[in-house]
Amino acid sequence: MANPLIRYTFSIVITFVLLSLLRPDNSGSAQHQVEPVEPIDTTSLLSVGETWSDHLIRPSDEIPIDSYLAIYFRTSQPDTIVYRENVPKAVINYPWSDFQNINSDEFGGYWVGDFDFEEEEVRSFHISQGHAKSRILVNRRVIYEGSGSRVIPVKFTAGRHRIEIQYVNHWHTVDYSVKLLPQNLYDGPPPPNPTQSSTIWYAGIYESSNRNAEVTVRLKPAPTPIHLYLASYSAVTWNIEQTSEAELAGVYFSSYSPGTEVQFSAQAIPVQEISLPYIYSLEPNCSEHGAIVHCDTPPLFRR
Amino acid sequence: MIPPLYLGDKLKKSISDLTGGFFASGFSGQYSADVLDVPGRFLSESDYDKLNQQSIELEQYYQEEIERQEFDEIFNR
Repeated sequence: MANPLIRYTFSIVITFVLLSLLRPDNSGSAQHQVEPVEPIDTTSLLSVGETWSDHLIRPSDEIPIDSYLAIYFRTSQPDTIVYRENVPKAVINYPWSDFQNINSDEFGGYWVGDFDFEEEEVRSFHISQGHAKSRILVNRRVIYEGSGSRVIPVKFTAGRHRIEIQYVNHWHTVDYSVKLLPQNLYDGPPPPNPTQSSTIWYAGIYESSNRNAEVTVRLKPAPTPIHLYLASYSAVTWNIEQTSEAELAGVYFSSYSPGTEVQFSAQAIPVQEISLPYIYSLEPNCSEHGAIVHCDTPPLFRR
Repeated sequence: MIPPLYLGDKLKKSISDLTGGFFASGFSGQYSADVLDVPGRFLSESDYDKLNQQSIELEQYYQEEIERQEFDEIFNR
């Protein structure tokens, strides 16, 4: 390819193909795959003989209650633990090798925790993952194994249940989230309807830049109660900082990937899950190279 | 034929349907963020028009990309 024009056009096409691969089509709104409809009864499943705990947990390790011991390693060296920590949620989000110098495409994660239930209850695992594979076990019974994002309801009997999550990443970024959430978490009383004088604000992102996928929302002062609309591609935890100058009337969120939550710094406000397009920029990022226009923007504007 | 719903109209309609006819007046957005100040800016009618225009231009851009690939692939078949 000595001809510079051919070389240039070739590089443009390669860039386009790479961008298409790196950034999935995000034109949609919330499209959570909910299956199966019936909650899984773990007692009906067979117990597996071995889990990663047999390799990664030391006799001196304490398994936390209602949170997780997280163990991270390189899949090329599974016997060498790189880092361990206690975390409230099984969430990990970072690009390249920005966490503990573990290259994303060889990241392995294992989360284990004991969870107490006062009475029989159905909760759902909200699994969000990209190019990766994961397995979830409850009391050594496999309730999920595979790729892609899912919402899986599970029936928990009263008592203590051990949850294990095994994760292998296959991409240059790590974006994994498993949230165990009550059913109908956001099916409470809806926020009051806005009026002519209400303040209506919209905020959108593709993803969080935090390792734990949290995004802090700082509200500017508003003259009237705020109806806040939040939209994201990835599963995030919106942490809303409340102030006396920014009174919230209601929060509505939309997320392409399942598992997004909303938390408040002070008083809980009615929250409703809805379907919205997510937009994180009002301006396109395009440049012209002669007759060729190159847009460094994912195809979020396609219908 | 149903007319196309471009992004500005889509955003406007989504919120209008939910609020009973009102539109968002404030906007914040980032590709990736740990903190988001809301609103980052106030939305005007021309912003919605700009979003619509982006939809149109980017659709055209992707169509041109498909056509451009024909040029690039001629010698690689």
